[in-house]
Amino acid sequence: MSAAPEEEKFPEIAEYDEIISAYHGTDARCATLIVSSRFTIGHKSTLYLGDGVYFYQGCRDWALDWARTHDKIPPVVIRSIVSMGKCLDFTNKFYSAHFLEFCTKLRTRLASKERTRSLLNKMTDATVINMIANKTPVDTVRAEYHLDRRAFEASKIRLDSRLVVCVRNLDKIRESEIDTNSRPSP
Amino acid sequence: MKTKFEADFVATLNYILHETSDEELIRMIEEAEGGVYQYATESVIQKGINAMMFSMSFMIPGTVFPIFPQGTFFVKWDTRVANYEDLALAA
Repeated sequence: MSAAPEEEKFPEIAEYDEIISAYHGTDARCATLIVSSRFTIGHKSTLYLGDGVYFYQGCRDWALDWARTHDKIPPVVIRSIVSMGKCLDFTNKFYSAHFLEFCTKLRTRLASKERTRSLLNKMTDATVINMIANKTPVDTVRAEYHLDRRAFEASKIRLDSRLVVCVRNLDKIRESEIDTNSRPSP
Repeated sequence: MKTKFEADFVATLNYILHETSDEELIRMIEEAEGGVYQYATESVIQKGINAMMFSMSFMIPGTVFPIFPQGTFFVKWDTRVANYEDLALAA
């Protein structure tokens, strides 16, 4: 995990805090509860990016789609202003490259001994992210999520691409409101 | 390194890979894996009650159930209330 030499010439730069609009799909009852109180962190090893509250960055319609396909009745979207803080950002090559190297070495280590081999089956993205975040504070995690749908065969644009943001530190959700555009027509 | 967080991130990866014992690594993975029942006791009776509490948690979001002395489980239980209702994405 050694840093590249050219990076070591600039040992530290100021951290900046990115502010984003983020959208969370749910149903009307939960939306009212969330906006009047606050979000609650979810825990499950099958979650995409580990423990946290999940949003789509910058796109209300993905959140609305999610709510519809997960039988949220009536589907509603909450719009939040999120401060990304210490972000484990998989759209940033620094984190994705180190994550790849880490997972490869961890799997090798687990596979090398009888007593740890069974843990290979427990390794998911969520487990690894949680393990890292339990040791060093991570406010948010961001990654792209996409299916393979394209407009035509030679197209390189993934039509279903979306940015998923998992907020682990709820203090980073600055404000939330029900997106009135997402309310179903009476 | 570019930022302190990036430095901390790399230091954490190195720590997990090179400075943990097998026992510590196993514990870290099991803790990170989560899951509602991993912190519960193995008692059949308690499992039944846990299941009932889990169902109730859908009706009363945010409720804490400090019934048994295994505080860890119930504190975590409280943070799991919105799992299935409020998450925007389950893989």
